[in-house]
Amino acid sequence: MNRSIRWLLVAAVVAAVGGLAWNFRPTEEKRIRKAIGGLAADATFSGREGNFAKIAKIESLAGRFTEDADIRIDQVVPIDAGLHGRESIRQVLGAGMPLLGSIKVQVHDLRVEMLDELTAKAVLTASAQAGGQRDIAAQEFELRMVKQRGRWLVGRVEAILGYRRPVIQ
Amino acid sequence: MKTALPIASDALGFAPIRGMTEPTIDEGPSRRAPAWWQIILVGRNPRFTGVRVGVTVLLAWLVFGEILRPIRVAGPSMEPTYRFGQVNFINRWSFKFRPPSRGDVVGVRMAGESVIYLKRIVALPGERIRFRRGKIHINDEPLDEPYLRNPAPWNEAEMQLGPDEFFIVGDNRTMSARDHTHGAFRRSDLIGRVLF
Repeated sequence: MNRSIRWLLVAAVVAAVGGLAWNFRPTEEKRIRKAIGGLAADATFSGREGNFAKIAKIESLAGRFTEDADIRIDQVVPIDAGLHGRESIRQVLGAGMPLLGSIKVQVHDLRVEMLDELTAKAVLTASAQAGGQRDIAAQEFELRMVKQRGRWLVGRVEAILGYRRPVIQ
Repeated sequence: MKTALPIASDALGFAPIRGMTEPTIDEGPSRRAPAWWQIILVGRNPRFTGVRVGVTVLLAWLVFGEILRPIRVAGPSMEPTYRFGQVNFINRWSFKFRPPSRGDVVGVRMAGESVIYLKRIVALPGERIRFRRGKIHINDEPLDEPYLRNPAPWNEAEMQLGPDEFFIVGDNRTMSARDHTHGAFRRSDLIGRVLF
């Protein structure tokens, strides 16, 4: 094989490997995506999972929020619904999970915007399907992500209503 | 393939030596028929197969990635017109040729287009809409909706749509108004009309 062709081949392989390495390098945005994906995975459980597994999931899920995390859903639910603090989230999860036989939570169309090195905004559509039901509930959310001790945690969750709703009488 | 070189031996005064074959020119190795696995993988003409694959991929990307968005209905809000599990397409180019109009069933985006609402446009920009005992009134005139089956008596306050807003609602109004996503959506949120 001609020497110059050989060099060209080597250069092409090096460029391809470099491109792949650049593409798959760990960035903050990827870490945030992974953290949000983990949030959905922890919120998903099947009816076959035992109580210990559910408790472990609740702990893991609650651990993905900051100590002073805020959850606001009053934009979409016509009541003053909201949670403040990791402990209240843990309590609500502990009370709610046994009521649901199983649930599958998925995250779609996730957009991440870095606000600074330690905070980011994430907009997504979350869908949930409770076990045995055909219906899929979907809702848009905006998350404020905060980096604490090298880990991306959810500092605020806000449900977004992307349209004007009429007043029901 | 070997080709015989025509030598005018007689013209040069030489007679061919008995037993010698005429000289030949080698044009390279003979072309063999492709193996069966080659035919299966890339066909008899790999270059043509490559072009065909490229064109097919390009067309599929253009049609299903850019123009038609495949959807699967996952909810009861458009029953009985569209039932759970039905597959359909949203034509993203449909509004390029004709603006959204009343009665169109459209796809409406949420944060993106992975999960979308499938609803019907019932009121247009600038109009006033209200539900009175399950009946839609547009600018105080009742709207004829032949696709409805047993609507529940929804009552909602009048809403004035902005210059860029369309009122969309599902066909299944047997359910409670609170459980049914409906309201004024911006034009930019409408993806396109449903194909079938």
